[in-house]
Amino acid sequence: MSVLADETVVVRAPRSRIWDVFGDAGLLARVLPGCETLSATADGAFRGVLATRLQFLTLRADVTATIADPRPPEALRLELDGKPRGLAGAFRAVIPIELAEADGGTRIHYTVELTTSGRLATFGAPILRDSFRKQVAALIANLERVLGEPDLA
Amino acid sequence: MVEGGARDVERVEAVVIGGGVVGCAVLLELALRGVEALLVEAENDLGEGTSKANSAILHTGFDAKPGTIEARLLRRSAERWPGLLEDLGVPSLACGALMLARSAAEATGLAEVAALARAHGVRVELVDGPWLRDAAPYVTPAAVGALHIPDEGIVDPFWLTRAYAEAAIGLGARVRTRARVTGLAVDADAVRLALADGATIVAGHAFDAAGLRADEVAALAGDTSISITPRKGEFLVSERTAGVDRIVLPIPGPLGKGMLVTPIVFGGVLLGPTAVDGTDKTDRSTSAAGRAQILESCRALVPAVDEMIPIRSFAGLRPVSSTGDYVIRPSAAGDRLTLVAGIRSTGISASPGIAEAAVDVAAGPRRWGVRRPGIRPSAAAPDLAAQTGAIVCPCRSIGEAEVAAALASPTSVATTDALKRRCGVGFGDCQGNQCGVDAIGRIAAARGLRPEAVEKGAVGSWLVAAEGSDVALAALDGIAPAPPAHPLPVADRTDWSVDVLIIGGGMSGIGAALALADGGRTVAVVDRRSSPGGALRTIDPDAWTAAERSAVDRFAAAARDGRIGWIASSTVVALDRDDGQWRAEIASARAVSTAIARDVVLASGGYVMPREHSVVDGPRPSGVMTADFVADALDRGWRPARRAVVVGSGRLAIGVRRRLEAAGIDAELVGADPAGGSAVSAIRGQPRLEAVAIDAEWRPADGLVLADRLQPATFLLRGLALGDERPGIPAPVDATGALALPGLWAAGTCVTPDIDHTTSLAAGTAIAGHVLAATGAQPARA
Repeated sequence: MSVLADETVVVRAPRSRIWDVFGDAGLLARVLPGCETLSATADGAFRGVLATRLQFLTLRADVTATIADPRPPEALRLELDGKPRGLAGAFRAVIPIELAEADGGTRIHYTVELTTSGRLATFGAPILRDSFRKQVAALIANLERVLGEPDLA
Repeated sequence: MVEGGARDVERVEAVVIGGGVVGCAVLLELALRGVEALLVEAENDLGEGTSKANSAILHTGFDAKPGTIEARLLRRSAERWPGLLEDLGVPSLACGALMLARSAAEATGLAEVAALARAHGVRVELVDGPWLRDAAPYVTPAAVGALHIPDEGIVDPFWLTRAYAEAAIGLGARVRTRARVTGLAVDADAVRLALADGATIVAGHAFDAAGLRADEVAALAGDTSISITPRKGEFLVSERTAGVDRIVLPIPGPLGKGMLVTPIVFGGVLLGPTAVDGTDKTDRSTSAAGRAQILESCRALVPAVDEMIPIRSFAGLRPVSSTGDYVIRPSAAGDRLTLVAGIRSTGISASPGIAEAAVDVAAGPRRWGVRRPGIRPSAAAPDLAAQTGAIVCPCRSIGEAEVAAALASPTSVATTDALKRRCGVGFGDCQGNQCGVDAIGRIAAARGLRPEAVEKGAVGSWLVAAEGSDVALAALDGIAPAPPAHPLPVADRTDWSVDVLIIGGGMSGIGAALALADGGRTVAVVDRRSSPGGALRTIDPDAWTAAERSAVDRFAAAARDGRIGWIASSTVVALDRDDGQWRAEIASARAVSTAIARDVVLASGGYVMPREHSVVDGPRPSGVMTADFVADALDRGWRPARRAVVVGSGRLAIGVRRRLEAAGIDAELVGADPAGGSAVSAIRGQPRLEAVAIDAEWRPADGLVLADRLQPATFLLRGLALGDERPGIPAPVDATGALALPGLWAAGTCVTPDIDHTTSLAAGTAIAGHVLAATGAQPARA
């Protein structure tokens, strides 16, 4: 297991709206980078297919996302279990997220603990970390874009 | 990409001579300007020269000599890299670099380098000792400060070279490999190239990007204005990184940047290079002396280098020009030939700028247009097939889907090095000895070739002997493995639930399975081969003990009647513990299976230590292999050598020799060095092995077969954070064979690497006793 990230970002959107995204499969599908399908399951999780460009390779993974220990609207733990298609092994990301109101938006602090097995584990942490950073940047841009749309404002 | 050439005269607007990173960048620049272009490369693959053996750094040019072409083009390239890397889809990281000062005098030197960097417009900051302890705790405590250059980066050099070419091909450019230029005439109207295969190319313009040979290519046209000499650099590769996440380098000396510790994009670190000026443009030999020098210099930067165990060494040759700078100008032979030469050691970093400058030189007279955006990045980031398929490379869990994608790439060629650089098969600890024969078979099948046409890398680096006995040649027609000694039915189940899952069907796995089944446990055994026996299948069953023969027979009978589950031709790629049980993911060509088990016994054996893990002076030809490779080749009826030296003195070495001789291959056995060093002091021959030195006496041989030492296979444990990423470190078990997680055990070669497996069967029986004792007298499952 390696800690991929421990970062704080500010998103220009109200906290309550960001919180709502984590419970709405339709909104999540629109903000998760590379999300091809996503649907809510009976047990409150989400299941879908995410495509990630790992710089040199497009990875398509079957992913289950679970929201654990929710404390609305300030904290939750996002757990992602994924199985990349065409590559041996799997990954699990545990992402505790804290949301605080900040000037002009929401300050989000998150950490990422990533466990990989099989082929993914041989790619090396640096390339996964770099790819994850790009994904988070895209996620934040998506959040700001989607939550800034007039029909949601 | 086309190999060889047509016999006819081919006309093209521009031709690029040399398929290194510079030539391929020039090809893309031409394609982006709408110029019809062809690249000719003498070797089997692109990037077979300097581009494949370097530090893989994307250098900002922070310390470049002011006023040089090199300095200008490095800065120009730095502007273009962010967009270009994204467009080309090349694995890279902006990891930053730390130039260390280890004394007050060096700290003064750093300030001078910082001033130079700022004059070049490169971002730098001087940092002190406490900053280093916090941000880069791996650097030597002797460092009093450093120059931090945050924009220095690293890249995959093979990928970059290929990505340039593939992007150019996507725009209509062509690439021809195995096309050596033997004649070059530049006149007022055209450039005429003669190729070694008899083909002629008539071009409106030619670029000489032939790297080390650029002077020789220019001389073909009568231009003797430049000379290129090789500066050799030896490198070591370590999988263990000791946390190194930035390039660490000393204050530069007169021969360049000195020795560096450099992260590798795909993980691991690179140590080196040495810098030795020479005259032989083919000398890529490595040496014990070079290795010692690298370790000493790098240890002074990062003390944890002492804990690293290199898995590979290699050497590259930088082309140093007689001018001391890049040479990018019209040739003395005529302005239809542009020299792009003397690209010393910054060719990767400056390649976009070099290509732009080189094409600019010709663009005026040739009336070429300006560059337009147009790279289609799709080729660089392929989608994989949905199914992983069988695991081809056990060291790195690389499956058939990745191998198939690599073989389908538009620049794919028929060498195992080419496959290695496209998907990583052969880059792991065993250095291709466990997967090499399978790789040859897959390359041959994908390209419709006979296996003897598949080479290692350079032209002439054959892997499977073409001529030989009629028997061997007849067998060459098939690429499927020979029938196994103990044919067993293939189970069609994809979900297993057993008391004990045993990973490995060698002697220890067999011993454990029989004893556990006798003790009433349900057992399944996974093995990546189709028949049981593990490493001993390498040798003649006559060399097995009576107990081993009996155990294998009993095991085969139990597998046939279903008392023991036999999961053949399959690899466990992941192990998880959940709800007090183990869950294994098992990949095979047919399906991904899962097995649930209360206990797991790792009996994954080992692999014969490759040359890469010890030190043998000399070049790096094909023909140096381990007993594992030989066994796989002979199983398919392929002859891995014509005349071999087998190193070792035990039954594995004797058995391998016997099998080689049975295949009509002359094989001499030489004992291992009892002191633990290498019995082979040096080798020679390039591209194929020609001779081996034993006790300073040269023996002619085109095959060197190592069968003297074993490395434990503990790859699976790395995913559980129980294994060491260094080779040769056994599974960390207690006195009962238990690992640090409940219900996980290890036995046999992965714990006690014994080359002859004399204790494996007993070790398997013993671990079964511990598992039975720990899990009570009654079976856990009916």
